[in-house]
Amino acid sequence: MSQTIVKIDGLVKRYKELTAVDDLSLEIQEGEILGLLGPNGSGKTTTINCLLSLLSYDEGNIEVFGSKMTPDNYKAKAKIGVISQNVAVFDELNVYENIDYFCGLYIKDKKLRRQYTDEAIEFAGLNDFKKFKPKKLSGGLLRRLNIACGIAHKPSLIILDEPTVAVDPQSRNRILEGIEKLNRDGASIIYTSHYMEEVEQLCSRIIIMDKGKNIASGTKEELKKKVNITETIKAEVRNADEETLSKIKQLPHITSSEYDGKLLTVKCSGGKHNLIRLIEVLNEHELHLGRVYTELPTLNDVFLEITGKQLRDKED
Amino acid sequence: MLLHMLKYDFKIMMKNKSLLFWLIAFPIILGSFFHLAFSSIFDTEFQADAIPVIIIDDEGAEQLSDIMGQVESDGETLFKTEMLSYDKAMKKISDNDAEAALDPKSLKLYMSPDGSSISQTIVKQFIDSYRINTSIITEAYQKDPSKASEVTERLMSDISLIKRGELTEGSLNIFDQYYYNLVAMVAFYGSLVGLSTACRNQANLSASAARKASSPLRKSTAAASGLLSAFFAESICVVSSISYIIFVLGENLGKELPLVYLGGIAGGMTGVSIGYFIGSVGSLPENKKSSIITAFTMTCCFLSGLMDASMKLKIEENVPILNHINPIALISDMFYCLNIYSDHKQYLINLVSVLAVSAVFCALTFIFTRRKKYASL
Ligand SMILES: Nc1ncnc2c1ncn2[C@@H]1O[C@H](COP(=O)(O)OP(=O)(O)OP(=O)(O)O)[C@@H](O)[C@H]1O
Ligand SMILES: [Mg+2]
Repeated sequence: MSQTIVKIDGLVKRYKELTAVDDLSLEIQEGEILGLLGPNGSGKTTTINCLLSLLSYDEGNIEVFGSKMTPDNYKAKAKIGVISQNVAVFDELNVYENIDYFCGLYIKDKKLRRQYTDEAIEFAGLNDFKKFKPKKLSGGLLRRLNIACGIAHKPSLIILDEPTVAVDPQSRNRILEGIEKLNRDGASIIYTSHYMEEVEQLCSRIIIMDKGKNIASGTKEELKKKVNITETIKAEVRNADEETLSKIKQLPHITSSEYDGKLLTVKCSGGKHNLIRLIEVLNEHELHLGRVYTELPTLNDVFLEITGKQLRDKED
Repeated sequence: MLLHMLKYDFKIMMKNKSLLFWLIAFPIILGSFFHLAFSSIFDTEFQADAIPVIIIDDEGAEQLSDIMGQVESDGETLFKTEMLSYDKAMKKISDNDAEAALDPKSLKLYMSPDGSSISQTIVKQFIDSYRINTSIITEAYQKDPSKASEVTERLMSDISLIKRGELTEGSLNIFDQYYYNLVAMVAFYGSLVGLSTACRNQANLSASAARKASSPLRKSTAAASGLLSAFFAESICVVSSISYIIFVLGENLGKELPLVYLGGIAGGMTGVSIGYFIGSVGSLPENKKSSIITAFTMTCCFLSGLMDASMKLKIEENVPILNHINPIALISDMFYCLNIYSDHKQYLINLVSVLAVSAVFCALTFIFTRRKKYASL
């Protein structure tokens, strides 16, 4: 039977007038990778800081490893590893010293600490940079150092707050693979991000947050079932006229269609042969087709459906 | 755990370039600058002739003339005094027939517009020093009349120590005040060390502190390690500045070296604890707090005479309370007391009060850092 590692109940956190976290409840089971997905300012970091007892909160209950989380709950703290959104390392210390320093806050035994530090360096792929000061590291390497500092002591609960911001795709994949490995090795993970692809790829369960609220939760399949859309068809068409567009709208199973002069986006719910029927209409009107592709529903569609706004800009 | 923390806290401090600049490089530069400025006054342009000074014939003229006559070197007197009435003195000054005239009662100094700036500087420095000393004589007299004569005697010997031979080496007593203030400044810059330490422990001031706060490290361990290593690093800075002034520049900071060092280190502890306190309260970011501390330190230095020795006197005359609460003045007074009083009573009083200030701020900090959660990060 899997154990509940974290239990947050009715958390409310206000900064003066602003309610950053609004009656949020969530649970994390042992061995899970829980994704907290939400746009900027949705309260992800605030939730994490409350969970860590760094921030005071106005209402709610937080339990970690079965006991109430307080600033003196050293037993629980010893089992947690934190990778904060802002890189938290000392500029004065080099890569090795930074990891050793933070590892030393958890591990007293010197020999074991050296072993753990070496393993963390290996894990983050920082072998060639041991003597580098943080200022000399590239953005991606710095993020990896930030992660290494948080996981060196082999915590059983790892909290990662947007660990891949401003990291190129290659480094990002490396980081995601690393997190999967940590999970395979037995750690439960909380992962916050506003990149839905990452969360979809990584997390076994996802909580979508907006304005401090838990607006939807479940596995990605469960979440996607919440929206009517089954597929989104995109077609590059030039000079589509009003008549064509209204004809498309009348096709069965089409819930919405948009045209921006170049790209036609059609959302469908259920049914079969939606694509074929669409192409038929376009051919009838002798419109020139460029690329045509279909997309399965994304978490963005879920977010859009619930909040009426995009999770993020596509260019992001 | 504490050892692990101490090791790294100390290492981090010793690698902080801006701290090292303010605490080691800056005092060395400033000290060397003083040294050059003061010694060149005497080395290059000082003529062998005694400086002619007119003493206005008024109450105390005889005594002042006597004392100035005693200030000598290699058997040659430094000043050639002449007693004249006020009107005659003013005429001579405006005609450029004399460098300077002194009013023995108010100790006001009149200088001729075309006089040699070097001679005039020496007269001015002498009279400043004399003024500080006379106020000390009066103060000592009020505290314990039986000790007054002893102090006076010591002062006289101090003033007559101004010898040419020592002048050329740049160790002129009347300039010591500058070095006292310099050491006091280094001690007080300990507040920057304290501040940076606090920022490494306060989760609302730095991301790495937040990371520390989410680890099982106890707040008290973090504070103890931070303060101890800050004291240690600051002591190194103070000791190196004092050693540089004494052994490299060859300046005189007092005869009892261990007490000089002890005073400096105690001052440094005060600086560290004040800085640690400032770092631990309020939520201003580190760079703002650090600007506040730097500005505050420079102001205190200015008021206690780092830039112009007569500043301290002006304050003593107009707002004496400032000199008793200005931490830089308190610290530099410690060295002053070591030189002036034959017993250590006054020095000890200052030492104890400086340490008490430090203890109070440490205690306040421990109380404040008991706060464990933050309303905002
Ligand atoms: N110290 C603070 N004082 C006042 N308001 C704050 C503070 N920190 C955060 N907020 C506000 O609280 C809300 C939630 O912020 P939070 O940082 O938790 O969001 P987030 O989901 O982590 O966003 P991001 O993806 O940008 O990291 C935001 O509207 C933010 O402006
Ligand atoms: Mg955030």
